[in-house]
Amino acid sequence: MIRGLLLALFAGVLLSYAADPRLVASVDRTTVRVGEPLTLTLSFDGSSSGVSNPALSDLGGLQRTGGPFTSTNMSIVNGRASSSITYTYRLKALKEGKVLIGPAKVNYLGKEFESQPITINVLAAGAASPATPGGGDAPGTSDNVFIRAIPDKNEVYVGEQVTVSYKIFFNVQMTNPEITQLPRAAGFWMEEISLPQQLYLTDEVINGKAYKSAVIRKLALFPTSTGDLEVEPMDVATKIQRQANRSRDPFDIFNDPFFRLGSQMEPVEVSSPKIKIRAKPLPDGAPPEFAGAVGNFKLSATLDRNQVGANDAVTFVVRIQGRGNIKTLPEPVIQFPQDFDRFDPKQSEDISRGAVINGTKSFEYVLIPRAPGEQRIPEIRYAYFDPETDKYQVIGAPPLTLLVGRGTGEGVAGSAPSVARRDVTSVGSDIAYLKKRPGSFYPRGKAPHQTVIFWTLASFPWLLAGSLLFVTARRRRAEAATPTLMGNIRRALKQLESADKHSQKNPADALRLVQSAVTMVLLPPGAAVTDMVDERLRRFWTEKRIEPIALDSLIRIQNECNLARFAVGNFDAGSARRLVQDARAAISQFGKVAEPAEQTA
Amino acid sequence: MKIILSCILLLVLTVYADPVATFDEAVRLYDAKDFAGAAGAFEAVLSEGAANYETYFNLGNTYFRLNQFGKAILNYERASRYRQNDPELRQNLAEARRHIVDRIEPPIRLVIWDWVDQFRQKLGLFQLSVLALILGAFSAILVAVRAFVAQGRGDWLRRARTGSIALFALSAVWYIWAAADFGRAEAVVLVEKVDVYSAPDSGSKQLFTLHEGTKVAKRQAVSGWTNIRLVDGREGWISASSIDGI
Repeated sequence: MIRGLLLALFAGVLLSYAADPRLVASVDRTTVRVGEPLTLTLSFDGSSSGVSNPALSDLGGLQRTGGPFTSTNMSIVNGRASSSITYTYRLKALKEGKVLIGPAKVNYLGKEFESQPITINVLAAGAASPATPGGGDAPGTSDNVFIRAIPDKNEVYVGEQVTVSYKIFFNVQMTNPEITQLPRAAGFWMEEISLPQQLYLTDEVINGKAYKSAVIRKLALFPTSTGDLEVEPMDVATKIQRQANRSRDPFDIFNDPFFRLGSQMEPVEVSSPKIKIRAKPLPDGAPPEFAGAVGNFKLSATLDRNQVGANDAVTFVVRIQGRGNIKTLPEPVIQFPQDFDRFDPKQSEDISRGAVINGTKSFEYVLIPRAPGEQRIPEIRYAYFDPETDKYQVIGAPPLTLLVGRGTGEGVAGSAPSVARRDVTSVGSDIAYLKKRPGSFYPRGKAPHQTVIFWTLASFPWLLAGSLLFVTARRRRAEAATPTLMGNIRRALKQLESADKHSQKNPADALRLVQSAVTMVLLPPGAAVTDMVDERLRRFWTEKRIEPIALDSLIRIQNECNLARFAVGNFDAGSARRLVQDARAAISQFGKVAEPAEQTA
Repeated sequence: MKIILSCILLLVLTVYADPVATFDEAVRLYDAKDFAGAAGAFEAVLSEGAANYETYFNLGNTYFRLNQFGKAILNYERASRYRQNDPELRQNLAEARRHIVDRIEPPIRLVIWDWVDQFRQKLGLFQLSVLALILGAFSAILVAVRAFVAQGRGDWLRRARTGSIALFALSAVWYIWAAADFGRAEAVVLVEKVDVYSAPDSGSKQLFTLHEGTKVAKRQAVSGWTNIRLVDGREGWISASSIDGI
């Protein structure tokens, strides 16, 4: 009876509530830590239509991150229908301290309704919160549902993959979680790893409580800069079943299993904690080909044809395959021959997002050979850093040969096929090669004239010439001083030359000169003029083995001269000349005979 | 006579027999891309007291490969003292100079001097010395021949003698000119950067700064300092340890 009365009384209260519209504000908790999410619910009881969107007033130090999410509720109690509309906002605490959520306003049928203000206590980021169970592991969650971010490594090289798994834990009934905010990760290149559509649930016990857990997101992060990098939290919205002990109203009689059929699912928002990852710089000793590829790769290069006509296009594809951040793989450096026109490569990636990001990146070059001949695409060299072995690796593809034919010309009918002429451009310059063979060596730092050998060689011929001249001159002088037969003959011939000159004007002088010349020859060396007696001379010269005939003509001239001296008046120019000629002939003849004789003597 | 000549030849060969082996070893190291080793071996040739164009040229190449462009230029410049008309040397010097910082405008010069230089650089100092020696010996022989020919005969001989002596004098003058070039007191900056002061004292006023590979003319030296002049005429005192003579 009493129970019936109470029921009636409460029903009356409820109905009166229903009849009297009002706006009620509530939060999921009043104590949060900085950075944690908070759910603000505005319920307008009375009608679900004709209500204007609520105008939120000052939110203090809270930031609106989502909402409003609208839901309507209709219930029929004792034959009377009542309806309500609920607006849910997601907020985030930005700074520490007490924060007042000001009254929100809605307009319904021209009347304004205001909610009551709520005070939130915001704690420091690391502080233990009575509202947060499970210690610091899973902040910002209720006891019933929370997320953990689990990186597979805390320290990686720049460009090395780190995989972060986001796992949701829950111990109440929960709808499918919906990710409202992917983690922002400044300093990372992010790739999402594909997961099965259906969540895979496992049972786990955390701090003595049984939970179900599921990985809801997996991210592959590649650091692009070094240092301590942060991955911001990921926000997830879901709905969990309202708990008996969380009723807002202690007198809520509907908090009974019987009334739960309407399924009071409570929207909650949970966030993963921030995580820190240290990105190490790559070690020194990178090969010159290294351009930033990190992982483990293979390279291949192919031409679609081996033979092509000039001005026809050929496709050259370089494929780099392996594990690592495929999307950011740098283009290999290829020195195409100058006779090719090339276009920027078409890049395409085929990425498999398994546990480790892997796949193939293709660089497709369209090449147009402009000149016929055998063209060579040189060896391609590509370097990457392998974080597993901590070593740089150089991979490559062997050179390829393309046979370029004459081609068919560029199409104008009747025109002779031709190649486009271009300047020969230098692609590089370098120093000339070594001198393989050394020339002669010289004393270091000395000019030739500073060496002894130079002066030796320079003076030697001159010394030789000087000494030769000196020796000859001395011999001549000695000849003049001690007369020899040949010397006498030479001097006699000279004297006859001057006698010849005199013979025209002054025959007497000529006569004297001839006589003295003949005497000079006839007179033996060392003999006095008084020895000029025929017998003595003959004996002397016979001993010297001079033939008597040569001697006879000389003696005859000598006698002629003696005769002429007594008759100088008759001695004219004609006879003088004849005498000189006779004397020259005789002396020359005597010299020819005497020379060998003197040498044997 | 023959004995003396062969003695001299033997002496020359024994003094310089070893550099060839060291030289060949250095070339082998260079080809094996062991440039540090090759530089050591070429330096060893020089430290034996022997030098020639090829050694300095190759040493320049080796330092170029070791990216020591100051030393490369120094050795190319030293090589140019032995031979200047090698286009390969000019190419390598130009290549090495692309790596140096200082650009100094040389004063304007009449083109005719370039032609004169081009002509007279056709023969190196050592070739000139051989030419002068040969012409000298020839003149001496012609002078000596006079002793065997009676006076008043052989006009052609007199003319040949006069011509030969004139050529010999010309080659001697040419040689002296080249020797003056060989002995030019010049140096190359070997440190990355060096300041030039107005006096042999680092406390004095700084005039300008030079960088590796720049060629300067040496003028006078006091303890630890050298007075230098740039091709554009500027002068100053530089720390003697930062340069090395060509």
